[in-house]
Amino acid sequence: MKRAPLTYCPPSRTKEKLARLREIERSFHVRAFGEELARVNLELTIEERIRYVGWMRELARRNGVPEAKRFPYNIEEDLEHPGNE
Amino acid sequence: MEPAELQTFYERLVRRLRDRGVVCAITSGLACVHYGVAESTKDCDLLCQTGSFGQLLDLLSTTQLRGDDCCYRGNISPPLDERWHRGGWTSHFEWGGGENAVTLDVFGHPWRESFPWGQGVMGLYASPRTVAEMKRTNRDKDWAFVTALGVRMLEAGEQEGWLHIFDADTLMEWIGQECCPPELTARRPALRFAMQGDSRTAGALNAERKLWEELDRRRIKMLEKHLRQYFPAVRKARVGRKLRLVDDHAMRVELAMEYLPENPLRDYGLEKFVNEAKATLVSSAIVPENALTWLPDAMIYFDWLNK
Repeated sequence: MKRAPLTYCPPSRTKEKLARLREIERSFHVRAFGEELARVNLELTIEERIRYVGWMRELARRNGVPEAKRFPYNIEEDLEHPGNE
Repeated sequence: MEPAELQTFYERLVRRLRDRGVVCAITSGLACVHYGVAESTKDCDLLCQTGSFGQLLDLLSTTQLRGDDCCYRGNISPPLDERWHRGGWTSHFEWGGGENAVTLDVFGHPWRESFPWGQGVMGLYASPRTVAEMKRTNRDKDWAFVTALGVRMLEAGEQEGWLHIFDADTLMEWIGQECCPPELTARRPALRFAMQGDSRTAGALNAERKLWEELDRRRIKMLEKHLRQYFPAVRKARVGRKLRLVDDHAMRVELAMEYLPENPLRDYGLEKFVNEAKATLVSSAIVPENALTWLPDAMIYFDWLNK
């Protein structure tokens, strides 16, 4: 299983139509996320994707990329150090 | 902790809650990875029905990870209490600390919820529709995820996916292949434009996105205003004390009663909130005034705050 199924109904479209729609989807993923992530999103299994995301995060950490701050914690530091506001 | 191990830990947590009859589901970034859109987050966002918070708190109190107890994350987290979650507050937990902390963010409701999230749960995960609505934030990176989820829904024959496509090229290409149902074009002017080949399609999609970004910005600002009163009080009450989760919880409830209004957005006025966001878009020249007629009804995403 590459991606979690959203339906258990058999496909109602022809193979050709489905292929065309997947082409549109791939083209969007390439434009939005880049070639490599498009492959990760569309070709890897869930387990492989999870491993890839972990590797990506670890690589970013080792190279000093700060973790994305998320609400509400992005204000905590500001509140502890009001000069940063 | 290995990513797969982490995923198993979160999924096991959800299974244990389900065994207790709790309706809950993993959402946001981890759900995106599950549905085939890689996101680098390691945080778990959990939707849990507000009536089951007692059971969730019990489970968190007794769940250790690598020998660490679960505790509230920092001083800023509101309590896991349905009174505040029914008004859009969220609660934040962690095991361990520092950069290796394993985190859990709990939502009683998604911030934007056009239908009850519990009705769309798929396995251990929130539906793509719920996840896509939650991703309509003021963070630039989230918007590609929204469209990617919309496309997956359409591919699976879920017509609601039409409401989540924000990329003009993708929308035009898909419309070249399949028809959008009239009830959805009626709900979203950008779809009507796209069906008619109208050159305003991209502008309408952009106006819609800008509205969601502005609404999210305003919502956060509003919550922050109250948290600025609450946070120092929590910090003061916790200083020099190592509280068990249940005691920390009781203390936060007490302080929240003093400093956090239960439903600040409803108190402010939902219509006023949406109208002011629209007015800002025009006054700051982000969208032209006539673009306001290209926007879908945003109020339906906040109706849950009135219940």
